[in-house]
Amino acid sequence: MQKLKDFIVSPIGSKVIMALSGAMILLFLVGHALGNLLIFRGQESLNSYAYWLQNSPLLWGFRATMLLLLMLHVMLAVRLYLQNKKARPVAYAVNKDMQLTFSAKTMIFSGAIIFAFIIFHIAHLTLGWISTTSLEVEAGQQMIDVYSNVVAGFKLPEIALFYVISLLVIGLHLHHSIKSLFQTLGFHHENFHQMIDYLAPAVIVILTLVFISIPLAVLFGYLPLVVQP
Amino acid sequence: MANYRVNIWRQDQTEKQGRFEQYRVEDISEDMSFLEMLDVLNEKLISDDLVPVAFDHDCREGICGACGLVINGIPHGKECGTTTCQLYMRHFTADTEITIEPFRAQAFPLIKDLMVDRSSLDRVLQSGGYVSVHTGAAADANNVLIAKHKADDAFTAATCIGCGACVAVCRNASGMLFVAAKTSQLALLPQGQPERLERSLSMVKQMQDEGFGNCSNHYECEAACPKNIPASYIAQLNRDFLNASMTSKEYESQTHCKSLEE
Repeated sequence: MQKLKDFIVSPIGSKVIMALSGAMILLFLVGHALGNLLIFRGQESLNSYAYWLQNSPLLWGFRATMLLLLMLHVMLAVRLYLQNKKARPVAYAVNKDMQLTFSAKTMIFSGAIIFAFIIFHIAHLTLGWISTTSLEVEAGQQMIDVYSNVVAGFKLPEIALFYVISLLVIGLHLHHSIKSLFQTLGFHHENFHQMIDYLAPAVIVILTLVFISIPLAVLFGYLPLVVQP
Repeated sequence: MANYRVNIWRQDQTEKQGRFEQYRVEDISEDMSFLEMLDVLNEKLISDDLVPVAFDHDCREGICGACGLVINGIPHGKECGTTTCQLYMRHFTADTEITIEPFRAQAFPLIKDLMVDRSSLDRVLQSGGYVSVHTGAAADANNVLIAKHKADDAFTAATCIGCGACVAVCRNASGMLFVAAKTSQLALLPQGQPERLERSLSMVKQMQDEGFGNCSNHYECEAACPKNIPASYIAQLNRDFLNASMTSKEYESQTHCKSLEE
């Protein structure tokens, strides 16, 4: 147990855990994006998918795992950030970046925005705590009308805009994450590094576009609010 | 011949408050090294009965790692793959301002002006311990077979002069490129294998204890390194550390043999 603790708090161990938890969250995001696309097949498709998910026996195990991964990722990030700040008590008067990307420089800030967004997103669409619409959404027999919730929420420009900006920030966060992930786990070889250099931006652009397409589609009227009889 | 305005960090000792002071250096030849420009300034300061600027230097041919100044925001200046002593005044536009700062890191306490104490790097190196080698008469050449590319890679790692520019440039003041170079120079050779895993564990532990930051994979270190050691060596260290964390001394606590009590 002591050895495991030493590993987790070590400079490399912390990063490995951040990389692995981040990678699993990324895989979840891919699944989430694919599920989201069902909204374009219509109200029925999305709602039955949501119904299937919510009645899955694995639901709470999955949610607990994701929460644990997110907590680990966030706590280690804050810990590392504070240690890194402490390692340079006196700042330089002149700072010049050579290879440092904007994405890498702002990881802690983009992370904080994403964390706030996740809380809002769960409260908004998973728990339904934040009422985003004055529309009375009719629910079917014990079936939450996810489609209408989403569409009603994104009909409000400020909500849609908040989602679009947050999703772009996720893209920014991923820009450094994906490359960093392989380096931290010890994969750095020219045989596949060039592949990652091309593949990572492609994955990020596709993923971000898929997520953003929904609030934009609602905002521009491509996804109508259908009130069920 | 050119003139410059140099802003230099002046600090009498570790605990005292430091400040920038601007000096004018005149008639600087473009063939002078950066340190020679500082020598000219110091001679002028001494003749004016002022305290000369303290800065580290030794070999002045780019191999000892003693010199190290942050020049306009970059350790060893903006020229690629050079130490401060190998940086020449022709790289600077005449009549411009040059800001010179010491290496800033918790692990490098400031001694005076531009001099910092980098012995934390020595302690990290010492924590790596010994290498088990055959003693006695020198072995015949090529007795131990080493692939050419492995020898080259180990040599690249071994070119690290321990100047600390990687720490100075890193936003987190992390010593990962230094530790990676020092572990890799042995990890890539057959002679380094017996203590390979334990070495990576103990050196990373020492780095942590010395107050260096953590690696954020920014790769500023490889850009600032006067020996152009690439950040892929950090991946090599990460691999070894991960391997060591899982396999080092794995059988130690698994002995089931217990002496029966009387």
